[in-house]
Amino acid sequence: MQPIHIRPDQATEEMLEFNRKLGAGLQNLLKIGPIDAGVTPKEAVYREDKLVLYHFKGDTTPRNPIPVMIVYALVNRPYMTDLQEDRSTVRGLLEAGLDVYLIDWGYPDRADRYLTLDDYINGYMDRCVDVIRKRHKLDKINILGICQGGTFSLCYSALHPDKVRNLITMVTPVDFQTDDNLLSHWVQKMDVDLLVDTMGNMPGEILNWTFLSLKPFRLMGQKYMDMVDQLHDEHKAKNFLRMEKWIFDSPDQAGEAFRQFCKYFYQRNGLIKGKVQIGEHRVDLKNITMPVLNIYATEDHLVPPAASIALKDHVGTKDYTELAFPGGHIGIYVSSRAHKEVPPSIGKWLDERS
Amino acid sequence: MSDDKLGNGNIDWSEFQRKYWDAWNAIGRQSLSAMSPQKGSGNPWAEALDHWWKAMSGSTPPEVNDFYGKLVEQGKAFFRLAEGMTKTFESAASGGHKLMDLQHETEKALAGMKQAFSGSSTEAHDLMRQVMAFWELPLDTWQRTLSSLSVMPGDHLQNLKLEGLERVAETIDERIDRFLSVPAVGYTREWQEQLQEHGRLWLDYQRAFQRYAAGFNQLGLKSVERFEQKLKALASDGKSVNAARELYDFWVDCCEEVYGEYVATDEYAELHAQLVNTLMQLKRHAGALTDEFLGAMNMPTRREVNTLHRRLHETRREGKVLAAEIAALKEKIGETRQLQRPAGEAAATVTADKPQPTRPKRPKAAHSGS
Repeated sequence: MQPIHIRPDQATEEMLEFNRKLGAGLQNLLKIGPIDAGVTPKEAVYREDKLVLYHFKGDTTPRNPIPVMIVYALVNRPYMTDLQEDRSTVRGLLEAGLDVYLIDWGYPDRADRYLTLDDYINGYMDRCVDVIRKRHKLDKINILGICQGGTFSLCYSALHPDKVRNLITMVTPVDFQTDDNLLSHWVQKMDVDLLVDTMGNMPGEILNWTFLSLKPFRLMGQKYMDMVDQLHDEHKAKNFLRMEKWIFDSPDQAGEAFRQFCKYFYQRNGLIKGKVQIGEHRVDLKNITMPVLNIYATEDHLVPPAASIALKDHVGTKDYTELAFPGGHIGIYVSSRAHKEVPPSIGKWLDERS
Repeated sequence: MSDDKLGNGNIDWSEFQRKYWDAWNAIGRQSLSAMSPQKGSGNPWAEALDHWWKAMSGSTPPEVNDFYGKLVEQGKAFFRLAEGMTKTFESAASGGHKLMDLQHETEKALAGMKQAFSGSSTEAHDLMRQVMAFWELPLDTWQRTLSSLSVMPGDHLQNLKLEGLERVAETIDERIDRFLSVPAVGYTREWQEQLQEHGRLWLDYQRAFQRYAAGFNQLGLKSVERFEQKLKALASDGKSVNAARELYDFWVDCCEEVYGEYVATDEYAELHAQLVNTLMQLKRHAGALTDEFLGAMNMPTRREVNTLHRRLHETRREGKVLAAEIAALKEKIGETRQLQRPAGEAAATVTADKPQPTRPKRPKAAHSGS
């Protein structure tokens, strides 16, 4: 049998249809207006340098008395957790009865080049925790770390276990050298010192290129073809553009923190070897004795599942729970299934430990 | 306002669109069925899309332009693929062939595709490479990324073939060697050496880039081979690709699979690291040269600004540590005062944030909490 059977007139018809959709889509797109993200009302409760600590306002009084602080990655912007009304992890957590705070790291510029992991974890993050502890008159709070923010949260919890009641990690790399970790594979032979000494801060554009290069044909090509089929629907077009805005909204990375993260974590795999030094202290995951909920995505191409589930062999807690979400690194925040499943699971798990 | 141009009642947008695409539909039907691989012929649909977008993009907001530009680029790739494949397999697809003939025609078509990635550069091969140009996407994105970070946009050596570059490199190396063999003397000796070093680093980067690009060229060839394997598997299952969009997705799957295998190899990690490392060496050296100029003009240099940033950062860090210690001390003092206060004074509160400045300290009590 002939494997390709496309008649010229049929191909012409398809191309014409594509053109029609593209033309109609442009008309639709012009009506959409500015793309906004971050839908849940919030107030800034603490500011320091470019960091802002937000407190979200739910429709009801939180049921759980222990607030949860979300620590997002330095890469990309944290509004991914509150992208739109029907796709908001934050909203889901509020509906689950939690009192939610979130750290927005801001956009570092050249003046922030010398910020280290010590500044981020023992400085900014610790002061945010103290602000929340003071506001709620509590010794310990709950922390929810996402992706790189999860790694930060692990370090923080190991260094300050006296301030963390429960720890939740989402799509968090722990073992940075699993066989399927492409990012790690690429960075092994790179001269990170030379990179940082040359660039100062790590430009967001290069990070974008790196992430898109993991699946270039789907992420830089096919995705846009799929989009043409949805342009007629204003709601879908707006959702797509919102996601597109987030993907390319990549802050530069403070040079020294980037250097340390690449070398300590990716190149030396120091977190599971107990060889990461943050400030004056070594990070020992065995110090994590509080309950841990580790959520990972089974189709994650950025943080492979194996990189996340390695956590169970290294933490000191006896109360360790894993939650596998059938989806990808982004889908875990924004898919409708994630919205229905992930925040309620977190709420339930925390309720059982409050 | 752009919106006015497109949205007011003077222009009936839908009607305009309809006429425009109808006209191109007519042209497209003729050209697709009649087109032969004439010299310099492009894809009329891709060209039409290009013309349309050039006409429209001047009137649309920048944020829409950027996004729509990507859609148009993919549309063009889709059109080229659809037309190229349809024509390539047209002979095999036409009725009346025996099974053996069909296999032969298909294999002939695939062999032509593979030849396009074999390194030789003929017009027919270049055209086929354009049809299958999808595999160049990661490389193209790297160049765009780099361009956005550079004072010299683009990469002016991107079209050089590796073998051609080697010849150029040898010549330049020879000239640099000759240049270096002349003892640099006088006040500008060091500057001359700096420029020579810059030339070497530039060449190193270009070589690394060409090696990286050559790797992607292999990727193109392997993608076609995977395409062939998958097509055969499809045919043996009694299935076929029946739509242009289906074909596009099929090709994406092949590219992604082959790419995924390639970038997981040590060879790719080495090429990738060389690309980044040589670029950084070049940029660092360029930065040092820029600093020389700035210093000569009595302007602050990047090195000096870095020193200032570092010192300022260290000072701020020390300041934050001190502030935290002071706050902790104030808190302890406040707690101590609470404990020392006679029972009758319980109503008077002293907070850690507002210590009473005039209250005399009692040395013994002041040390009790430490």
